[in-house]
Amino acid sequence: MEKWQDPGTLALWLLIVLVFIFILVLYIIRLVRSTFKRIIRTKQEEARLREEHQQELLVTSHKVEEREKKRIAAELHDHFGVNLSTLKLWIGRIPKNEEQRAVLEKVNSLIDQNIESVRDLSHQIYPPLLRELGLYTALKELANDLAGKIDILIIPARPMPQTGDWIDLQLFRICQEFIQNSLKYSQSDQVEIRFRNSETGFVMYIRDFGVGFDQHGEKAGGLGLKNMKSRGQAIGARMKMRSRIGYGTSYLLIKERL
Amino acid sequence: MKKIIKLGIVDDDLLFTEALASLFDQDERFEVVFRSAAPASLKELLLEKGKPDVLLLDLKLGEISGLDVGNLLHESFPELRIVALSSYYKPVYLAAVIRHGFSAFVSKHSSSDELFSAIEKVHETGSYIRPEDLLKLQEFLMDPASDTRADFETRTPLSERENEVLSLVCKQYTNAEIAEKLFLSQRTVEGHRNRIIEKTGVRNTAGLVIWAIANKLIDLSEIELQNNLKS
Repeated sequence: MEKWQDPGTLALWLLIVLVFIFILVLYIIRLVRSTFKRIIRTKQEEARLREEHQQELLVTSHKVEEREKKRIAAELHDHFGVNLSTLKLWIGRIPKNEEQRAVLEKVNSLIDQNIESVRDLSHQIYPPLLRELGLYTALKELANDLAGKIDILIIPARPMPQTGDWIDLQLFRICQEFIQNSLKYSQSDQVEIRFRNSETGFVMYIRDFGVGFDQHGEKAGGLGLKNMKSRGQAIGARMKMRSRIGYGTSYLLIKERL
Repeated sequence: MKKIIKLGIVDDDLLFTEALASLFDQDERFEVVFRSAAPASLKELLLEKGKPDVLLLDLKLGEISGLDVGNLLHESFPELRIVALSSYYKPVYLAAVIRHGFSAFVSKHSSSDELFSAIEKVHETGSYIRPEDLLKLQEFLMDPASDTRADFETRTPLSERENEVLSLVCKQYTNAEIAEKLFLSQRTVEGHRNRIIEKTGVRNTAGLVIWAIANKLIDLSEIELQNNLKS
């Protein structure tokens, strides 16, 4: 019997081979696992980037939109509106007799109406002085503008937090959108806007007392609601819309970490 | 014969400035001593041309510097009476505008008569606020959530005499009229007025009115009545 046929040596060799195979298998398993892990991580990273990118796109699209609106509103207000005022001043300079005075008075009152329309339109397109006045006062002014059409009750948080221009504007737009919807569909004569500082964050709660709508129906996909949602997303807030036929509509927004 | 009121107009809207200047040219109560389209070089202009009695300053509130111009001018020329003229006019902005050192805030869309009387009032008394704006302003100042209020809140006790003077100042009386009404000399009234301004920390007469409203020191119904009687 040769030496390698010795059972002891064989066993030893077998053991060595087995150990070797075991280590190899272990190594392969680890390799496979880490490869899979890497793939998953990359996928996750991709998803995160995609989400970030989408958020960025969302924010950018809203910013671009607001910049355009601001420009148009300022153009209307500062040029068109002021030109009308200038026109009025010149008319005041015309020397006139009784009869002409009566006619020019009519002209003047028409100019006044136009000035008012231009101003209202411009303010609808972009809220003036939101930065200077803060969200609460700007909303109160909006309520003033809409007095007679719909009653808007605003209950501020004590104190109102410093949310910053961008968030203020989005919150203002959401309120505007909600009120628009209430005016158009709800038949409600009142909208309530409440702000609160809670432990989870800054809360804005809007509701009307109108006819409501079916949340699974056609109207639930309307542009106004989509717009409110996308603006909420753009400022990184969580929100919930609730409506029941006959019980009005409410919208809750929570912004953590201001 | 009253003294002619010297005016300065600062507005980059040339068409508007021209119409405005032409309006003043026609009226013998006013004289436009300069027109400018550049608020940035206003300080140099005032040093060069001399101070007008009343400065009409366009306020583009959308821009950052809008209200700050008032601050800057007030630092260099604390006596200067500035009327903010703007197409962005709402009574609730009034408190903010006046806090920045302006004496009055008038809409560009208001009638020439209103503009004239605003200028005259500012010239005579140092402030002009439309009576119908006072109530709105009070509502705004009293609202705990509006942040403008805080700056006017520090209440300092005034003497009885000072309170009397303050309430007449709010009714847009001139120093001479107050002196007559309270049987004081005009200089004493001036002294009171200055002390009130010092105590309250406001910048001018217009600020006093707002301060008095914010502290509920005056009865608005009284003021409105007074204004109606006077006009």
